[in-house]
Order: sequence, then C-alpha cells, then structure tokens
Amino acid sequence: MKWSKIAVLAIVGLSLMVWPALAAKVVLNRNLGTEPPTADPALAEDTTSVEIIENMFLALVDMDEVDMHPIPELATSWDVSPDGLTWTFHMRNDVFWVKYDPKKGEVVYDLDADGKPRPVTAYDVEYGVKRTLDPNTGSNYAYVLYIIKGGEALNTADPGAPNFQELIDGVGVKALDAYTVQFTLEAPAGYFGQIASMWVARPQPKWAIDAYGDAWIEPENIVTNGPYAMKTWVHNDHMVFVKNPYIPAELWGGGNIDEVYAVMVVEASTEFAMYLNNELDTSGVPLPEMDRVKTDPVLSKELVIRPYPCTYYYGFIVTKPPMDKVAVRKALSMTIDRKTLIDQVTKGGQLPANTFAPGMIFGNAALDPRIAPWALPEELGGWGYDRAVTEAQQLMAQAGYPDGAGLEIVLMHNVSEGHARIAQAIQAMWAKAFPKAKFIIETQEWKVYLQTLVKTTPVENVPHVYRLGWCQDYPDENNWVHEVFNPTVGENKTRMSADDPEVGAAVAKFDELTRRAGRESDPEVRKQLYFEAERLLVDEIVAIAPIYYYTQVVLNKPWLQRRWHDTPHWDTWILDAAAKKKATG
Amino acid sequence: MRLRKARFKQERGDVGRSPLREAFHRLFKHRAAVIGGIYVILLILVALFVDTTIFAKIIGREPRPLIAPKHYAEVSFFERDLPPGTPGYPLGSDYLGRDILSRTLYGTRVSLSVAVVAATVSLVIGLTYGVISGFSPTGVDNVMMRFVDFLYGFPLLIFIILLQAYFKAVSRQGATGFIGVMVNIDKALGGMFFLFVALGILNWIGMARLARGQTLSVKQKEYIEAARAVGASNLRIVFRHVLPNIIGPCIVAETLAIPGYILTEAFLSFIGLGVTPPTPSWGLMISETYQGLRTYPWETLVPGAALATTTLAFNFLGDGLRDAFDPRLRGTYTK
Repeated sequence: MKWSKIAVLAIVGLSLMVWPALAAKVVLNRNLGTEPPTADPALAEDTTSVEIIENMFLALVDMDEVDMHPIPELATSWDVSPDGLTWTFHMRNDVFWVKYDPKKGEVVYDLDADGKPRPVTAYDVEYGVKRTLDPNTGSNYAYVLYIIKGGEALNTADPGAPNFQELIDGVGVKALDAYTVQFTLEAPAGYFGQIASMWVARPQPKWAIDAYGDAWIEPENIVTNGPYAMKTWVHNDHMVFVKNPYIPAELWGGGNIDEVYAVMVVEASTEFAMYLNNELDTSGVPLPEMDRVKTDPVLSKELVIRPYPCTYYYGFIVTKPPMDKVAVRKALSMTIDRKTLIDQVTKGGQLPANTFAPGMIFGNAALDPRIAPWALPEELGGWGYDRAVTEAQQLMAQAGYPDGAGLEIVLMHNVSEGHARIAQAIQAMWAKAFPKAKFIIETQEWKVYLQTLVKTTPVENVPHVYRLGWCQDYPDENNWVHEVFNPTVGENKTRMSADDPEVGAAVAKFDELTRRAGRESDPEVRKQLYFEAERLLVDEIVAIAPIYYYTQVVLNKPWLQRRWHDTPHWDTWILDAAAKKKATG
Repeated sequence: MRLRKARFKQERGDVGRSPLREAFHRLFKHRAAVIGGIYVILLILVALFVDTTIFAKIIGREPRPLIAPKHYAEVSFFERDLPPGTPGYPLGSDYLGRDILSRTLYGTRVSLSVAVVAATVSLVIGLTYGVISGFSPTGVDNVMMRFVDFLYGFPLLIFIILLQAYFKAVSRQGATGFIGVMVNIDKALGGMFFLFVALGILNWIGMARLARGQTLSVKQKEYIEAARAVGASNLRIVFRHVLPNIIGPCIVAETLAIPGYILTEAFLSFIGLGVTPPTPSWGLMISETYQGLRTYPWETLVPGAALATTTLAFNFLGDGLRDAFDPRLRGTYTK
C-alpha cells in the first residue's frame, strides 16, 4: 500500500517534470506536396527531394539567400588557384554523422567499429562526388559535375570497361587529408562555388550505402549530418524529421523547430483546406482561390509573393513542320499576351518573360527590351500586345499562312490543372490572332511526357509545341542557356541544329557562345556572351517562347516566421508555439 | 351516331389493345417516366439546335450559336469568374470568361451523342450476337457465350482508358489509311469519335447475354413450334417471331445503361482522356473547376447539376419503360 502510494507519487512527480519538456517541443506542420522520389543526394532531381536533402545533409558551402554567393558551411574557407582550375576547401572537424534511434527515441551519433562517433570528412566528399558520377549510380543530375576534370568521362563510360577503375581515380576530386578536399576543373568556372553547394556534391556515408544498398535512405538505415534527421517515412503518407542536437551552433540557422511533420498531400485544394483548418502552418494557394486570398482580410495578410528562380516556357520542336519556319515560331511567341495571362489566369504576380533566365541568375538579360521587345508590355519598354499581334499576323502571312490558314498545331503539356488553364488561354489568344488555324491541346502524365520529349523520340510522335519550366540548380546562365539548350551538349529538346536551313548559322553561333561563356573567367565578358546567347535563343532562332518568370506564392500563418531560401531551410524558421496554441485553442 | 361510336369504342376496349399500345399506355401513366421522357426530348432538341451546325452543313456556312447565347470557346479574359445573374452571363462565367450556360448547353451534345451512339452500337452488336447465339445449336452457343465470358473478365474501365491513350497517341502520329480516316473524323468531332469506339467496343456483352437468354426462352414457345410446323424458315422465325418478342426488354435494359455511358464519358473527360479542350463536356468542365469549388461554386455546380439531372431523367425513363414492358409487373402499380 505504502509502496504503491510512493510509486504513484513518483510517477506523478516524474511526469510533472517531463511534461513541460514535452509541451515545449515545437512542431512544424508542412506539406511536401508529393512523395519525395528519393532522399539520396546523388539521385535527387526534383524540388521535393532536394528540400528534404537540404535539411538532412550539409554541403561544403551554402548559398546566400539574397545574392546567391557561396557562404561557409562544412568548409570554413576555400582557395582558388590563379588559373581558376584548382579549388581547395578547408573543412571543419566538429560535424558528425548521426541517425535516429527508434529504441531510444532520439538522434544519436553513428558509431564506427571502435564505437567512436564518425566525423564528416573530406573522404566522404570525395566518395559522394565519385558516387554521383559513377554510371552505376544512375544519377540524372551528374551532368552538373561535368565541370570537374574527368567527370564526364566517368559518367559516360561503360561500367564494364577495363579502364573503369582508372576513370574513377581520374576524377578531379581528392581528399588531401581528413579535412581538406581539392577539386580540379576542366575549365575555370567562376560558378564552381555554387556547384559545390549542390546536393550532388555533398558528402555521402559510404558504409551505410555499402551495407543497405538502395534501401540506405529508409529511416532505420539513413545516416545524415544536417540540421534534421529522418525519424519516420511512411511512403505516400507522411515523414517526420527531428532536430539534430549535435550540429555545431554556427551551422544551425537560428530557428526553433524541434520536429517537422511533413504530409504528402498532392491536391492543392486539399492543402489549402488543411491550412484554413490550421492543420498546416504554411501552404501554397490553389490557382482558383487566388482572388479570394487576395481580397480576404485575414488571408491577404498571410500571403507572401516573392520571385522564384524559375521560368515557364513553351518550346518549339524546330524540325517538325510547320515549326521549321522561324516566322511561324516567332509569330506564335509574339501572340502570347503575357501580361493578360499573368493578370487574369496565373494571378501570382509573375513577371512577363522575354528571356530564358530570370532576374536573379548571373548573366541574365531578363526584361531587357533589346531582346524580344514584343514579349513585354509598354510600361516595361516593350511593344505592348496590340503592336505584337499586328506584326505577328504579317509574319504569319509572309510565311505562307495568312490568318493561320493551313496551320494545324499540337500543343502538349503534362497533366495539371494549372497548365491546362494556361494552355487554353494561350490557345484562345492564338485562335483569335490566327482564326483559320487549328490548335489542338494534348496532355500526358509527367513521366510519359518526359519520355515523349526526349530527342530520340521520332518527330511524328512529338508535339509541335511543348510546355516546360526550368528552375535553377545554381544561379548562373551556364545552368540555363548552356545546359538546357546547347545544341550539342545540352538537353536541347527543341532539336535545333546548325544544319537548319533558316537559322543554322545562328544555332552554330549560339552553340559556340554558350561554350565560350562557360570557360571564360572575366564576369563582364561572360555577361556579354550570355546576353547575345539569350537574344539568339529567344529572338533570332526563336526556339522557345518564354512566358513568365515564376513567383513563389505562399500562405504563412502569423505564428510562423520564415526566412526565404529558394529551397526551404527549416532550421531558420521560428514558430511561436504559444501564439499558435492561443489562436487554434 | 354518338351512341354507336361509344359502343364501338367499348367493343375495342373489350377486344384489347395491342401489347405495344398497352405498354405505351402504361408508360404515359407513369409520372416520373413522363417527366424523364420530356426532359430527354428537351435535351435532344438542345443538342440539335444549340448552334446552327445542321443548317450550316447544308448551305455550307460557318455554324453560329442558336440556343446558346455564345460560342463555347469564346474567351473574355477580363470577364472571368463572374457569378450567375451577371448581365450577359445568366449562369456566370468560368476562369477564362467563357459563358457557363453556353458551355453547359453545348455539353449536351457530347453527353447525348455518347448516349445515343454507345447505346445503338451496343444494342445492334449485342442483339445480333445474342440472338444468333441463342438460336444456334448448343455447340455454337457454347463457344459464343464462352467468348462473352472471356470479355467479361476484362476490366472494362481500364481497357477503355488504354484504348483512349492508344487512340490519342495514334492521332498525334498522323496515321494513314483506315486509322487515318478515323483520326480525321475524331478531330472533326472534337475528340468524340474515339470515345464512341472505346465505349461501344465492349459494352455490348451485357446486351448479348440478355438477348440470348430471352431468345432461349422464346424459342420454346408454342407459336415458334407452330411457325416451324407451317414450314417457316429460320430467318423468318427470327425476324417475325423472336425479335419482336424480345426487343422490349432489350430496349429497356439499354435505356437503363445510358446513364452509365454518360457517366463514363464524364469520368474519362475528368481524367483528361475524353474530348479535347476546349470542346465542352460536363466531366471536363467539372474537372477544370472543382479546385475552385470554395470560391466559384457555380463553375462546378452548373455542369454537375446538368450531369445529375440528365442521368436521373434517363433512369426515370428507363424505369418507366421497364414497368411498361415487363408483363410480370403488369398491374402492380395503380393510377
């Protein structure tokens, strides 16, 4: 009797002591929007995967959220050789690999064979870079590391080749000692600092990958080093991340969130409903709700619109008649009323695009009316839509299609309500400008769609016009005009080539310019080269019709204070749990 | 005179009306069926005269809207998302400033075409197949019915989705020959033709089973034996005696299947495998706007109501027809 009373008292006392600690746990409720395809830094290629990787793995450097210059993360400092070819990073020695231990219910050090915590070393960086480039890994993003010496040779090699090991050893990344890593580049690349911040160049835990294979990213196996560790991953449902208590104070972003509960709700309208219901602390805005959010007295205060380094564009397959005529392509690009589209259809405060790369990219020429002035409204120094339509109709008539007579054009986009609205709006604009032409909209599921657009698909099977967007991997034009459209080494889904009878010379020049600009180290010269490349792409070859520069449209509960990185850094966010509790009851 | 006429009428009544006449008599007494029937007739009129396509085809002009106030693809960016009752937009406008009333009215075309074509195809194929199977010797009957069983094993909706995906791919490749002709018809119909083919191609199997069952039961009847005895040929028996006696239940079953076709079309358009935008179909209109249900409910509710009432009308009509044509239910209702 007595003992049991003591026991009860002890339990009550203990819970009273523990209770405040439990209550003080700050939880962020966030929607990832989809199941992340991967959590493997070598394989990620979409924003969702990159977001969780950014919060679980540290890079050598981070990017400044405002002007995108590299700032120290794992590396405290770095030296560049005078010829710009050798980059040496000096790393800190107080970051350790951790994992979530479900038995203890907390994040613990990942121990080596001797039972000692494993620090993050230069060898992990070397291994990570080489693993990304290894063709056996199958990374679709390895190409951004081609600037590293031997990177392209390894990535494109046959894994069975006799000299395969030599190719691996030949990659220009080397751990000089445990905390110094040196990169040797193919060409001086002023933007290599930004490359070093990318997920594909992050340190990776060799022992975990060797032990678990593809399953190393599952919550029981994954070993990480960033501000958060993965606690749970219920596929297609939710993930839970908990704060890594061992991260050095300087690498913690100053936020107060202990746990991130991330759901995977695909429907924008469901996400919005959850936000209204206080089930999410931050959310996007479904397109049809924009007007309501902007006029609602409460929601309008929670709305944040900020520029986002992505561009929405329509590409033309230049080898598919009648798109082989530059006048047809130009007339179609001219008759997209970008301003009306933004004001009335997308409604997110986007900017009309007259170039491929948006404003925050190094070397961009966005909104410069010397390039494609017909895409810009008069107040931005452009022609305005009325003049653009008149000239476009003349162009179309000169090309042999007066009023569009005889044109039959298939416009394809991947299945999405937002894309469907934009496509129908542009279809209506085109049909009004060229009343005798036929414009057909087709849709495909995302994965099928990407397969359709690859260069090897027979030209009969591709549409005339395709929709895509491009978001920066690193803020440099090299990632835009060169990697996306270079006719020989880029993706070049438009299939433009130097053999083109109409614009062949311009394509050859474009090819040469983007290559030269990537190897040039003088920033001023690079800017000029990229300006000319953008002009060729949009105004002379007219391989694409840029439509708008993205904005990020976010609703944020008043109790959540976010810092605005393009990829969210949860460790910089502050959530006022008391205010949330008060508001939600 | 007057008296004689009345007596004559009385006599006729005593002699009895033809089964068909009696069935229609019962149908007209079925109030829900009458309402459903009137609604369906109205829909057919709307589908025919929503614009001047019929006259335009004859005199060779561009069609213009007739019943519908506007053309379905008439975009007006600055008059978008207007609520019902706005001048010029009696049922409001959608996210591109298109008139919802006009789009809904045009939408009857897709739904009714699908209903009529899919029902006709399924009735013709199913009835022929079923009667042949039921009238044939057991061996042939067995083979034919096992084939139907085999088709029953197909997941119908998935098959239609695959077919639609295939047709869309073919139409993009620009096929030639027979397929090329079909592709061109499909383009002219705004993507409807392949919808017909996909829906008609498998929906006849239920009809075939029903027709076979009916034929088997009719085959045993004395009047068939009598016809045989006087030396009627098989063909004559089928057309003069079997078909007239089984057509009633078959038509009833087909009418009741129509709402299913309409809903399948709406579903296919909803997931992007139906008609090509901007051709309005109710399913497509719903799928384009349901995300804004909170803010602009009319954009979803108007086509949704059209879909629901049409389905209901066909169901009422089908119910009435079944009651009217099914002898077992004779007299089970009053008034």
